[in-house]
Amino acid sequence: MSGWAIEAKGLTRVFGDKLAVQGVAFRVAWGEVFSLLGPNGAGKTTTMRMLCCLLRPNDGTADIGGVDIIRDPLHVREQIGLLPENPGLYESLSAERNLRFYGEIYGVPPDKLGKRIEEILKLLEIWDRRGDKIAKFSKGMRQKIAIARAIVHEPRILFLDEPTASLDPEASKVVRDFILQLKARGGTILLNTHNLYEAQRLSDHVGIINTRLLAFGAPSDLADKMWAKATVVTLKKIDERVLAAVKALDFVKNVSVEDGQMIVSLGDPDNDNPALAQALVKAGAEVVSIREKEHSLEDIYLKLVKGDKGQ
Amino acid sequence: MRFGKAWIVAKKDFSEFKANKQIIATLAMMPILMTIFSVVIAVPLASLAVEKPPTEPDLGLNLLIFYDHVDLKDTTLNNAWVNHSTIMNGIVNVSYINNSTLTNVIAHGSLLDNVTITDGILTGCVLRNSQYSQNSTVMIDTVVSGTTKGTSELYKALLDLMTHSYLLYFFFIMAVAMPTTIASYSFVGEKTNRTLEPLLSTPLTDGELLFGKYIAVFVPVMSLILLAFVIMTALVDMLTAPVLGYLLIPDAVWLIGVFVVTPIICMVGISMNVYISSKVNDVRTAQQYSALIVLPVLLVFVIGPATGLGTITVGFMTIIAMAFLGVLAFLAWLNLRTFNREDILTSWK
Repeated sequence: MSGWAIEAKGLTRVFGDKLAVQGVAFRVAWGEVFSLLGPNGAGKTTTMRMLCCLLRPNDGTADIGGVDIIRDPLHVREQIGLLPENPGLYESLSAERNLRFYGEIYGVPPDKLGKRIEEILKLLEIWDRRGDKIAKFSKGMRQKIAIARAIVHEPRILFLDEPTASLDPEASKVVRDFILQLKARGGTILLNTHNLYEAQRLSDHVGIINTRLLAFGAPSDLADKMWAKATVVTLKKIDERVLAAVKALDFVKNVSVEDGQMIVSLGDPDNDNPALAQALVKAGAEVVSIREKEHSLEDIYLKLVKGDKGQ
Repeated sequence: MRFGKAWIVAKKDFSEFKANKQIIATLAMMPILMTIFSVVIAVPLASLAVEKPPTEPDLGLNLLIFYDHVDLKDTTLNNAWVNHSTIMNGIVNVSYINNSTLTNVIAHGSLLDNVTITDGILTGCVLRNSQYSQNSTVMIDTVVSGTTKGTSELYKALLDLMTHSYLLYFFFIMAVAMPTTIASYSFVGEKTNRTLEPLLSTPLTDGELLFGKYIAVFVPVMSLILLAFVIMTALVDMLTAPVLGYLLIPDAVWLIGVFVVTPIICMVGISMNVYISSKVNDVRTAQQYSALIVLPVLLVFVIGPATGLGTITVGFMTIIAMAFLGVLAFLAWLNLRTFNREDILTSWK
């Protein structure tokens, strides 16, 4: 496999006079899980629908597995599997019949299809319920069948739109674990989610979208870009003498106190932290701990989305 | 167009219909009613086909003179046996007239068997297996007997229903009305159950998806219509053939109607339903609009012949078939042209 699994090139979509998505561009490598994060109405689903050739962009385009979504949508659809926001299963048909229908549409050979359905349903622990009508299934079970449907033909790229939305914690965990299994097998996945924990846990890269793509990258890289590196120092007591000693160090860019902890901005924590510790001890401070300040995906998300709303 | 893909879509829909007893019941209702209706017509038709002869009185004829193959004019016949002759302006008393034509004749106490009478007066006669001018032949104390097939008005009306193919109209109406039941589910059902988004993300072309939906409706509807036709034909012929001596249906009009015109009308009905379904968002609205589809067919087939615009002949059937084929081609083109994945997805409420 060469090139990018997904390459969005300035996707723009307008509904009437409402701009839903504007100039969204990103790249997803093969075997990577990429999450699109954003508030309701941010354009996540619209972006996914454009990538799945369900909506035509007003401007821009994208390549899926090297195939242009506008020039050859049929070939794009052959390569992908989609889990929409709503499972969209045939209620009066059994789980197996639902999967068989999609397998046949994708042209999975009949002898392989049976084995494939068995493999997936066993993996999702619903093999025993294969003959039951979907109408009898719980929300979590339906979501599992919808995921099974999306992968029955072994797509090269999987699109999952809010896969754990409206699921209980137990069902959410099963779905997340299954996504991790797919990832471990080298699956390329684009995930739309509100769930920051889910995105942080599953994703190699994230894109934060609010009509425009506000940020794109690995969660840790995003934090580095948005905040200067800092060290959190916990002391038994913070006094002026200690603060002055730290401020006097030439590699310290800034010092502040938050929640009883000293936050020290540094250029290179790995090299500067030992000297910082020595200076603190020399100033008579009783050091409880020294650690690098970390920013969660939630911090990144909130800063970006709030910042975007403020503009 | 990959027909295999369309067939997969159709097979899935068959499975859904099979699982929905309400759809099966609604679909089967019209053909069942149609079959019952045909039997309701066939039973009285059979009973009216042969009229029972009344008891003939014994005229006590004493035949003395025999005429064969003669033309008798201004003659009075007494105790005569007349065979294969014509009698004009005469009087016939206590005689036996057989296979002859009588014009302006007064007959008394005679047996007239297989004769044709124009302008006559018959008193105390027996008229057997004969025809007479009803407006100018007076019969007093005369018994009309013999096997006269279907002389009653009811019999003629029932025979018209069968042989002049008025009953066939109901097949056309079924062909256009029955798709309404399932076509609305077929498309709008996919919308309301939110199953269309994953379906549209598969490598199915618009044409394959639409054709699959056409087949999904056409096959069950036409199967039921043809089954109803076979059962109806068998029942009607079983009831009427023994008394009529021939098979009442199917004739050429019936065969063209059922095997050519009905499938075309069915496809037209499906096309109209598919068009409506792709424009509305719930099954009930689709069915309400679809109910109106029957009206044009009613106009063509009921009002048309009733006003003498079209006699139901093979030619009429052919013209109708061609006309509906044109309508079908237009609607199929329209459906392909207006089928828009984006509209369908984004117009969900």
